[in-house]
Amino acid sequence: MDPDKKKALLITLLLVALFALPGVRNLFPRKYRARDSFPVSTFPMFSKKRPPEHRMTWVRGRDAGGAVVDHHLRSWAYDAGGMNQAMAHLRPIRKDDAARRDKMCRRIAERVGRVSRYQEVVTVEVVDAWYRPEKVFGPDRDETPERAEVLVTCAVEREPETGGTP
Amino acid sequence: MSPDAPLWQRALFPRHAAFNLAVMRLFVGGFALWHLVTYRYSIIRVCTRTAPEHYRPVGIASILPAPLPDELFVFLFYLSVVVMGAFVLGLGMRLAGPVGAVLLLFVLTYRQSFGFVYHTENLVVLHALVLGFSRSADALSLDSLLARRWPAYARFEGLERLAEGKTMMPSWRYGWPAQLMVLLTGVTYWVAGAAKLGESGLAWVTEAHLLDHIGNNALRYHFFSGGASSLTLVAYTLPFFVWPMLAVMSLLFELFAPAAILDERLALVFAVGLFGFHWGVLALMGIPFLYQLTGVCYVVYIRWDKLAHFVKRKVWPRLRPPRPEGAVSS
Repeated sequence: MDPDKKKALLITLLLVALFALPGVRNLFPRKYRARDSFPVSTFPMFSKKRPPEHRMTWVRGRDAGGAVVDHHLRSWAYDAGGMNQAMAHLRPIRKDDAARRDKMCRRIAERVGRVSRYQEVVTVEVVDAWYRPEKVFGPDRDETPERAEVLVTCAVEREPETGGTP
Repeated sequence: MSPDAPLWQRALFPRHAAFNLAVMRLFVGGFALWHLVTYRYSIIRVCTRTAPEHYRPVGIASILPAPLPDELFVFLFYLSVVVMGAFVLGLGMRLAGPVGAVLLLFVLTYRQSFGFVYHTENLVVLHALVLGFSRSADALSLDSLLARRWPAYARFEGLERLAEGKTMMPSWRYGWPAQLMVLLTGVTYWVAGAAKLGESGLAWVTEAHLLDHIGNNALRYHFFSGGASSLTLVAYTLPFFVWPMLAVMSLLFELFAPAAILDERLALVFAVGLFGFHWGVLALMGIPFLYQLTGVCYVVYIRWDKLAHFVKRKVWPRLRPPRPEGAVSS
C-alpha cells in the first residue's frame, strides 16, 4: 500500500478510537465510564432512565403586593449562558448552606434588576419542586407540583433613576 | 482503486474530484463562520461574564487552569472569525485551514467550559478539523485562482498542476477526508446509541424512556425558556406502542450510522434518516441542532462531483435554450 495511505489509515484508526472510546466505556459499569467532554462526547443526554417525578429548581418573581408576576423568569435574566447552563449553575443551590444560597439569590436579583421587562419584580424566589410531566403536559395541563419548597428569597435592588430635573 | 481491492480500502480511499471536497469546505466553513458571527454576542457574553467559579474546562481548554483574560478571549474569537473567512474563501488554505479549524475548536470548546457541555456543535468542529487539515481548497477557492497566475504561490500551496494550466486529477486524497467525515459522524451517532443501551439496556426501548426524556426536556423549556414544544402536549395523548417503535428506529440509525461509509447509496439513506431524526427531535423536544437541521452536516454524505457531472450531462442540456435553426457550431 502507498505509504501515504498507510499514514491516512493510521490517522483514521486513531480518530475512530478517540471518538468511539467513550461509547465503548459507556457499555461498561458506571465506574469505568468517561466524563463528558467536547468535541469527544459521551452523549449522556437522553440515555439515563428518568424517575417519574422530575425535580426542577427555578426562579420566579413577585411584585410589591406579593403576587407572582412571572412564574418562571427566563434563564437569561439570571445567567450569562443559555437554558441548560443556567440550570446547571442553579442546581448546586439545593445543597448549599444559607449564606451561599443568599449570595446566589442576590446575584440573580442584581441581574433581574437590570432587565426592563422585569421592572415589576421586587423579590425573587428560588423554588425547588417536583413535577410529573404527564400531569403538566397531559390533557388537564395541571402545573401543581407534587411538592415544592422556596429555598431562598431576596429583594431586587434597583439603582435610582438619574438625570433630568426633579 | 481496483474493484478487486478489499472493501475497507474501497470504502476509505475512493477517488474523488477536488470539486467534491471543495463544496464540503464551502458548506461546512460557511456554516461555522455564520455560527460564529450570528452567536458572537452570546459566545463572548458567556465566556467573559460567567462567574469564574463556574469554570469547568473540557477538551483542549483543560490546559487552562483558570479562565483567560477577557480581552485575550475576545481577540482570539475575532481572530477565529477572520481566519474562518479565509477558510471559506480558500485563501492561504495551507495556513488558514489548520489554524481556522483549531481556533474554531478552541473557541467552541472554551464556550463549553462554563458548567454545561452542549452537544450541538460537535460535528461542525469535527468536520472543520478534517477539512482544515486536508486539500479542500484545490478547487472553488481563491488559492486555485491565484495558483493559475503565480507559480510561486502554486508551489507554496502544492497546486503546481494549476500553474501549468491543467486541472487537479481525481485522487484518494480528496476521497479519504470525505469518507473520514462520514465515518466519524457515524461514530458519534454510534456513541449516542451505545450510551442509551449502556445506561438502560433494552428497557430504553421497551419502557418508553423516550417519552420520559421528552417530558423532562419539556419541563426545562417550560421553566427556563418560557414554553415547551406544542407537540409535547400531543405526545402524551399518543398510544404507548408509538414510543418503542420510535426508539427502535432511532437506535437503528444511531448504532448503524458508521456503516454509511460502505456504500454511496447507503450513505444517502443514512443522511436522509438522520436529517429526519433531528427534525423529529426539534418537533417533539424543541432542541435545535442547527448544523443537522440545516442539512449542512449531511453534505459530507453526498458525491458532489458526481452530482455536478449528472447535472452537466443530463439536466443542463434540457434547460439550455435550443440553438436557432441554421446556426453553425464553432
